[in-house]
Amino acid sequence: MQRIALLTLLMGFLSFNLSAQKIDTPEWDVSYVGNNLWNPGLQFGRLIPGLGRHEGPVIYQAHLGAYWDPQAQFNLYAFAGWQYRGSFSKRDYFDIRISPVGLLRSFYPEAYRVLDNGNTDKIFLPGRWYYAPEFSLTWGFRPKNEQIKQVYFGPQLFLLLPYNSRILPILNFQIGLNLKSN
Amino acid sequence: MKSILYCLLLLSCLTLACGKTDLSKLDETIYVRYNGADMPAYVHGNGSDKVFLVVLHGGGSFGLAFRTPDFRRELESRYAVVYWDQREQSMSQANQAQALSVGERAKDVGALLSVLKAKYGEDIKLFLFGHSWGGTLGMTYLLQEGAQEQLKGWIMASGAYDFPLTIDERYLLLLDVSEAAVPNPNDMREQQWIDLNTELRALNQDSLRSDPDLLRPYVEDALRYLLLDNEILPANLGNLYRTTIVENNPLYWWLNDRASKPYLEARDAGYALRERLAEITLPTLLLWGRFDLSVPPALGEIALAEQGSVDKTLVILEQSEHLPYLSESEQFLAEMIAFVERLK
Repeated sequence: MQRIALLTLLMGFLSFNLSAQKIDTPEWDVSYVGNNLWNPGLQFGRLIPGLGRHEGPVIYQAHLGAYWDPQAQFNLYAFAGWQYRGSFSKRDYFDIRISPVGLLRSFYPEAYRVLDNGNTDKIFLPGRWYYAPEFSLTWGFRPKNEQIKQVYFGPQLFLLLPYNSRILPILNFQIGLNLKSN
Repeated sequence: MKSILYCLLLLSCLTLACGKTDLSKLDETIYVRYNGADMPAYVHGNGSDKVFLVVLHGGGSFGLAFRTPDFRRELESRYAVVYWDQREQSMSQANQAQALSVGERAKDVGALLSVLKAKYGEDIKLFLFGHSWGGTLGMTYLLQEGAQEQLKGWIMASGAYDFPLTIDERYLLLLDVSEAAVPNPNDMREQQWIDLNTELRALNQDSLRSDPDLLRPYVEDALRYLLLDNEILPANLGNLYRTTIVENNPLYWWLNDRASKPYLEARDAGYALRERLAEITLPTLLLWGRFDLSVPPALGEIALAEQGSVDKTLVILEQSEHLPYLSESEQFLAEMIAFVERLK
């Protein structure tokens, strides 16, 4: 039964007539990110076609973003890697983004270090650094506005490590726009 | 593009800005960096009298879980309340390669108190309040050298200060509750209670200490029957969900709780402090639910009898189980306030 369900799903997915989408001009990427409504974030990115010789569905991307946990901390991050764009139809797209190079810095409002003798000292710009690779999968459509290449939404996954005793996976929701560069 | 970047910069500056210094309206987050961990303390309320009530949350919980509307209205209007995320829990951050003992974790409490004194003055009056695992942690801290001198009072609610004793008493309370319900002619669930009692008696009591989860289905059944019999009041879960989702980041809390469960490590190691109750001489308020099938009220009675304090009180909340601050919050908070007012 499970095999039949899996096969049906697979056939349904293939029936979308997926195809790679050539990206030949740079794009800006602006999105809202957050893992619930109370820790909003913004993310900006640049999508660059592959070094001139390889115009195609795989492009280079680099992003900078921030999100805020109102009670606890502010997080600033940057990541870079590749992005693949495919299409379901003439107006509907999907993007798969893989960013093996990522860095996140948490910032606390105020922090004190406590020494073994009980003395304390205030820490300047307190927070922590994390290696933060990123993955995302989004679905998008092209609106009528020519300046907007696509409006998209979908999940984004960060892995923060080392975090406490293990890795902390942060699942964000993102909704954004890809804009023409000029 | 530039304007967006300026907005981002402004947002980060606002976040990093120093907290307010008006003690009557405290609303700030301070991190404690100690022994490799960064642990947030959320300080809210009225600190005009320099009374600070430090909350030690239970296992699987988080500091802000206690920041219910009742805590805000009754406690924060009078005192500064410090809701603290313990090491590896909720929003705390660390690079923790090795498991820590309860004693090492309890040193974090001392570090938190040092930071509060550094920030708000050496003359602040500190009260410690621990619920469930927070009771374990708090009592462990109190037994460390010089700890009791830092505090004005100790409030323990449903404190699991001795895990083997907790497991034994949980079984006995289940038996008592199931037997007491049977002769009640109004009890609609008489046969269910009889079945529960029969099954409990068939359990091998010696195996419970090695596998305490054996009792879990019986506890769940008993609590359901007690609720249906109107013996216990439902906990205000709306408040709990609100604090979980609105006050806190539920994703960080849930993931970190999955990764680290110090209370289960302590339970499985048979962590026990009953023998050392006499060493605690600090004024103490003990608060327990009559039907607490997680940490039975017998532990409160034993603490009352054996603790070294001259000033000690046990209050049993007659219609509560393990979360009396949610089910009978009015009486719970009134007892806390009376205790603090008397000793501050």
